[in-house]
Amino acid sequence: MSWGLCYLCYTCAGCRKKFKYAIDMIAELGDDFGKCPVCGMPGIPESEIAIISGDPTYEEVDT
Amino acid sequence: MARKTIITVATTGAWPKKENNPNVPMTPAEICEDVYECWKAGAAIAHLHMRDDDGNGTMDKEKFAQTVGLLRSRHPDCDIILNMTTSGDLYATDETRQAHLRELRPEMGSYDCGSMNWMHSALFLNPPQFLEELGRNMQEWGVKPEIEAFDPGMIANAAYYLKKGVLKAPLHFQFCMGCANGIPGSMKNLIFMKETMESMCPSSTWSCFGVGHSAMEILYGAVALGGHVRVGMEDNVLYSKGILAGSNRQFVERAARVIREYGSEAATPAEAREILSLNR
Repeated sequence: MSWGLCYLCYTCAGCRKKFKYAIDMIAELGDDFGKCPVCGMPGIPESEIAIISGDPTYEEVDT
Repeated sequence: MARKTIITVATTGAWPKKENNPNVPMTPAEICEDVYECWKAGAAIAHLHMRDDDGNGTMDKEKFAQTVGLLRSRHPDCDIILNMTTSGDLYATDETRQAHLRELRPEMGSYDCGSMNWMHSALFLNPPQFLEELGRNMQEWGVKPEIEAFDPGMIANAAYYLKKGVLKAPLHFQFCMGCANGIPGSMKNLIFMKETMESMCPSSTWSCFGVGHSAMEILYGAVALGGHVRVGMEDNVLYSKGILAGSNRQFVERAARVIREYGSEAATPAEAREILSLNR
């Protein structure tokens, strides 16, 4: 039994950008996980979601 | 002779729905046709989950029976190995998690070798009493356990049950990697899982899959390290970054391609039976 991906969704504490990280990236990104892709500020955790096709609310960050 | 690699397809799982990917097969008829297509593309094992009429995971044995019945009647040429889940609904009872095995006697069934927090939101319970009962029943019913290990501790647990007689050698493992709360999917961790298995349960066979970003790394890693592979929409609804999978067959075709290009061959069901000692 399995099911991925699962995302943590954030709003940037600085520029208010909305973005999400797949939780399986925690191991790879370490301290960078959860940071805003635009300004680098830590995001404020908002919600946790499974993948929803075509959901444009949060930009995925994976690098 | 080229090495044979077994492709397992996990078509449906308990969680992804049409809203996640409209191509996930949900009904017995959809699953039947999907399994047949995957068999033609090179899958030797089909790992089956069922859904109720609302699309939620269910252990309803009638759904399993319908699916098997359709597969046998529509596609009598299909000799794919059926591997039925015992963990298709977090709220199923010990009885409903096993009833389909007792009634349908598939060649394989999943055996989740430990409990864990599921997706950070629920409990995935596999207590000792259940695992002992399930292991002994599977031996009695001639159903080979596919031991799903979400972390190395579950391999150690399988070794304990092997020594206790609850499980019988040779064991077959499925390393489930990259799942929320399980071991992250990486080559380093795959090697660690393999070495843990080899030290605690020698002579076992193993397969693996990676959820999400690790899917391809684990696929290539398994082939390179001499393991077997599992693919399908139970584990990944995306074929590649941002691209929804068009079908489970697409995943099987890619796995078969990787195996061939490495210099191995996808095992037929008959060859998989030999590799896994499915000799009942």
